[in-house]
Amino acid sequence: MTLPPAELEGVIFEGYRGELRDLSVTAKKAVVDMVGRVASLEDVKLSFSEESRGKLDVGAPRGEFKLDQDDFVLSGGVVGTAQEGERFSTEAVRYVAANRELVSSSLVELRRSNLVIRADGMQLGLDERRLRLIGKVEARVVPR
Amino acid sequence: MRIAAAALVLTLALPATAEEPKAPGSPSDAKSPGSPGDAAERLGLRFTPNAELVISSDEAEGIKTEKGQESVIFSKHVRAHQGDMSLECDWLEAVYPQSAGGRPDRITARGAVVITQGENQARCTEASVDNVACTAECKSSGTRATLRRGADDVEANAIYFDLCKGTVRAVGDVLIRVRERPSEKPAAPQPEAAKPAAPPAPGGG
Repeated sequence: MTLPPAELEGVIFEGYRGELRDLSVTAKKAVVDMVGRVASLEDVKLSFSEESRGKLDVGAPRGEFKLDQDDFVLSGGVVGTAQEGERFSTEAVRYVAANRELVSSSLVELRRSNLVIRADGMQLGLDERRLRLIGKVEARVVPR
Repeated sequence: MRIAAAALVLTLALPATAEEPKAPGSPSDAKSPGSPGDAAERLGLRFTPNAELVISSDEAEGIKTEKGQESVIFSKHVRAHQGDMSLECDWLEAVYPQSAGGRPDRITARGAVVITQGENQARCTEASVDNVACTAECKSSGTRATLRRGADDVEANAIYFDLCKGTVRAVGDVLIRVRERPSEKPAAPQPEAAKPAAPPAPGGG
């Protein structure tokens, strides 16, 4: 017997490392395919917490959650914001749970005040907030 | 060609310093065209502070330091431009301040560093730019730091720039080469016999 996809509204997923809740995911709507082991999400937001480095929110119109890997793929225009007013935008990003990192192979733009950095892709390690930019990197400090 | 060499420390600042030994036969005015003092005036680098700063490379890695500063390390085909000044190197670290300002406080460049502004070009293996103090340092390990403008050049263990004043200071086994430009060479009086013969009058074959 095949289970039909389950449709859910107002979904909240929480990830813990020990006692620390380090990942919170909210979605306006989710369709869970138990056969394909994937959940399709709409209007999704990932929030990463880290004690010393503050919060990082990543939002997108669409998302996909791999049930067996705890991995998320966000797409349709992803925007990430950090507490210090830094933000990044890219077409799609993958959260790789095993490495706790966000990976994008689309054009990415990061902004911090009047500093704008663009690159062909990025890898953001969430534990150390180590950002690796790959391909045609350009950092531009625009005069105020 | 005249060569003026000064050992250990030579300050090439505006106005030209008196520390420079004058090459035999050099004019008493250190700023006369082609003199070392004149070269000093023309060898400095100067920031355009409000110009857009652009750094490009094939790869970059950013990390937030414990002090909250953002350090970005650019590698592979690194180029930086600000106003009419450009910098090329193999590796560059830009340290951005914790405050909202987007301009890096400090830049360190390594590898084959070439800083160019107009006709002036500095070459070394390690350079650092302090945007707060408005200074830069260019030094080389193993080889020598060089600063060139056209045919004139300065070699030293380290070359320091005041990027706001446009002055330069060379330190350590300094060698300055100032080459006469063709236009500066006084025309020697030519004997009558040496003058080229007048062209034949048309039709006078």
